[in-house]
Amino acid sequence: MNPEQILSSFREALGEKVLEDRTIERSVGVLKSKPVYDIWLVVGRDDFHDVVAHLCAKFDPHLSVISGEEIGNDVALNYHFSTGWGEHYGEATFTIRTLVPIDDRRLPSICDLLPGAQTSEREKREFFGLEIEGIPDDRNIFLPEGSTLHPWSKEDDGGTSKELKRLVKWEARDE
Amino acid sequence: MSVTIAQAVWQGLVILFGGTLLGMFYKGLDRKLAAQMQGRIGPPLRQPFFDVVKLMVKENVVPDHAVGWLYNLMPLVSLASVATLLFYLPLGGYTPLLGGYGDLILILYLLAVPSLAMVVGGFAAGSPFATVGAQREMVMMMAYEFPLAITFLSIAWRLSAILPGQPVFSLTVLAANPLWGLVGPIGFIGLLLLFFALLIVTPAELAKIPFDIPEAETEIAGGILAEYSGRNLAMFYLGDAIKMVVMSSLMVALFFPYGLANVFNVAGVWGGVIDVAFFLVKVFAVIFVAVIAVRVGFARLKIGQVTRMFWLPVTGVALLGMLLLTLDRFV
Amino acid sequence: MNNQSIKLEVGGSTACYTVPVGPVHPALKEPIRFHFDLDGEQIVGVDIKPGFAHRGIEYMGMRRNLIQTLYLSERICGICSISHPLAFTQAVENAAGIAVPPRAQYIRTIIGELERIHSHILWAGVGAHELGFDTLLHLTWNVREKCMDLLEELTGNRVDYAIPIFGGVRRDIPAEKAPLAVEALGYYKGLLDQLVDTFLHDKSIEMRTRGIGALTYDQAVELCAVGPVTRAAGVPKDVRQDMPYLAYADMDIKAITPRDLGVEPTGDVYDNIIVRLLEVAQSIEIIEFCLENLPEGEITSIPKVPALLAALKNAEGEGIGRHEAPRGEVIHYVRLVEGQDEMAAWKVKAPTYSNLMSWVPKFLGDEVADIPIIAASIDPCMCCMDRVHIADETGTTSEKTKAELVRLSREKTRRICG
Repeated sequence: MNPEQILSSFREALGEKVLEDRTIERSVGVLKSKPVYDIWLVVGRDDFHDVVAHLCAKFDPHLSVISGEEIGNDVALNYHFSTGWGEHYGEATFTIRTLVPIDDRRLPSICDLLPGAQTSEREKREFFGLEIEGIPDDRNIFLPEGSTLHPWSKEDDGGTSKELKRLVKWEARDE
Repeated sequence: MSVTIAQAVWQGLVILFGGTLLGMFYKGLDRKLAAQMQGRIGPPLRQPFFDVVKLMVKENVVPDHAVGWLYNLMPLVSLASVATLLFYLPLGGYTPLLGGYGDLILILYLLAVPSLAMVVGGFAAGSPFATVGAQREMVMMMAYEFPLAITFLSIAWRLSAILPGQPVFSLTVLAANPLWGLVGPIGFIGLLLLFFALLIVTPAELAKIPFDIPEAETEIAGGILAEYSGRNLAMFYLGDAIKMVVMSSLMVALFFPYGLANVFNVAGVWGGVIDVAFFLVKVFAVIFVAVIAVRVGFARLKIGQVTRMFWLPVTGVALLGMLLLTLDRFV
Repeated sequence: MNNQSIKLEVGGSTACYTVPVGPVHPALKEPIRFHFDLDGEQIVGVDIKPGFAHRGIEYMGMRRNLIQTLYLSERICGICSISHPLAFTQAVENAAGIAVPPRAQYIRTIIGELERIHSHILWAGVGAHELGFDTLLHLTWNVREKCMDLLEELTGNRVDYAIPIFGGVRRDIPAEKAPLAVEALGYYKGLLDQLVDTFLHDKSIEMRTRGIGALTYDQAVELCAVGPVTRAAGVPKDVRQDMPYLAYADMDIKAITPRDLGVEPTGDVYDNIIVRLLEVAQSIEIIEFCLENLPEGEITSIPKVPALLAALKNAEGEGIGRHEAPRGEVIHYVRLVEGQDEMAAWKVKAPTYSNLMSWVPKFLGDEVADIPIIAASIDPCMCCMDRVHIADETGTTSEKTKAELVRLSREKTRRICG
């Protein structure tokens, strides 16, 4: 399925909910050159779950990882899916970006649609201090149990760097 | 037979130290040969001695959750029981020191004591790994004790029919009268089957791969021995080394008690030396076949697989052997 | 605390006790903690807690310039030490629009596939050790050395090859080294049948791996498993096939499933062995193709490091780099901002991260004795060992100090380079 078909399916089903879409074509190969596609989508937080539901219903996606970054007044989360696996040259990366305001860090979980998202959601939860609604397990995964630090959040107030300094000192202590 | 107390003590000490040294020597050989067979260089032959010395100077840790006195007592019980076994073994052609004070049944019981001590010690350690290991050891014992008992008893029983009135359960008598020549062809096949069964029981009794399930390092981190350290661990280590000698000596006494002295017509001291040397070679041969080659060639089995294997095929083979020996008597 | 998704009760029986495995345990080569609820020997519940080796690499990377971060990315993992730089350089090249010369693409592929060969053979040995089959461990690790030696000849290092750089590679494969590679490939070709025979036709291995740690097709898809784990369950996911890159784009690569050996996939440990062994054969073919078709020309598009740094500083954009590492899909996401030395965002995903969830269905219902091999079956990342003990030809052994080791390794590097 080519990227244009995928995108038109989204436009048809979701209309205005897709705020922005773009496709990047790259050519790969040395002996003979062939195109591969990166698809990028931006959706609002409230429509995010519907968009992923459409993706899961129609395209059998693989979720690689969720990346994120605080830009201005938002936490920008990129859900790196890919669709069309299983065929030679069949796959395209499919990144859905959604913005979560930093003063209202709530986001619906997609574990009900794709259980494999749990690890990555738990990681974003603790690293940005997000509240992911409906996540099956809301304990820390990579940070120590009970830690309330949010290393990638600018609202962390230097808590992480303070903790880092303490750990470095502890590592270097003379015994 | 009259032995003065001084003589008994002197001989006892020699056997005790000799047996222990022998066990450690065979353990070193075992490690070196296994390493060579695996394409490694392996530790020096003296390594078991280094290990014991190191363990002896190390701290003896008793876990907080352990039942202290039981936990500390069990290594001693284990070592004492295998050391006692040494006094019942007909070394070469010599009469064992305690030969007149116990028989095959006692040996069977004494053989079970170290495993039981490990089970109790494992439970007393209060660690989940040791608990799982102790459970596994119990199941293992239930699995291999039956074919072991069948083998010992059918041989003694068959001999009792040939030598009526003799104390056939005494290991000395058993060793002096190898059955191979005394039975007919059916009995010979029966004996072969029993030998085969005992050969499979041996690595299980010694808890070596593929039957090292109670200790399974990658699964339960040493299992029963997980919490043991220092002096206690050294005693289990020594017990294990001696048990290896004991098990293979039993095999030799039951199935290959032949000496070389009569063949070469050498008598006196030199005859004794030749017999003892030949005995050591036989013990090594049994260890090589039943322990070293097996542990190099197999993966560890699971407890369910082992139980099934001992209860059905191995017990079956042992029972068939017994049946053939019985038939042999009445034919 | 909410962990219903992980804890599960089987047949209404209650768990008798909990056994912790890890963070430090002989079955684990890296720290991770499992809590197993056991009913006798049967596993009825499992709780997984990773994070004991979390070093905040992404946090560090976002505070360094890109070349420094490239070094850092190489040190994320010792075994996947080419996989992360491959994905990372691709992500940055996509973001900054830097082209990679054809020869560099082929060299990256060759090193990447050599890594797959040594990683899969290493896994086979570890798997054998977890089963208590140490003989096989020593034999497989012995044959793995050939691949490590070749990597050392080609790159100068056994691990951390330092080959990719943005816009190319740092070291060429000169024509006189090619025969070494051909010879090593021939060696592994001759060995493959023997490896397959030892692992797949050995009765005791079959008894311990058949039906153990099974993962169904649906579970593998739902849990987004990657690499040999998912292919063993019959899911034909392989980045090299699905979305080709580098020299893979010139080849017709097919994801390997147990069906290639005529086995219906169940995702158990045995199927994992099949997939990994067949992939060694596939890697050999790929390297042979690359060596035959190695294009002539430059090995990097921006050879001078200051120029490269300047180009990266002026770049703006975001990019994704994906690579099929030996253990599965590696993905790096990078966002560059103009006028800034460091990245604005960096996300690294290693294969084990994706396969973490698939451990749960694999463990449930199996026995304590299966824990090590199931844990190993997804091939969690492990650290490489240092060589501190040296044995010389006479068989005597001696300890070497760090300074001596450094001297010896420098000598050897000089010998190879000279």
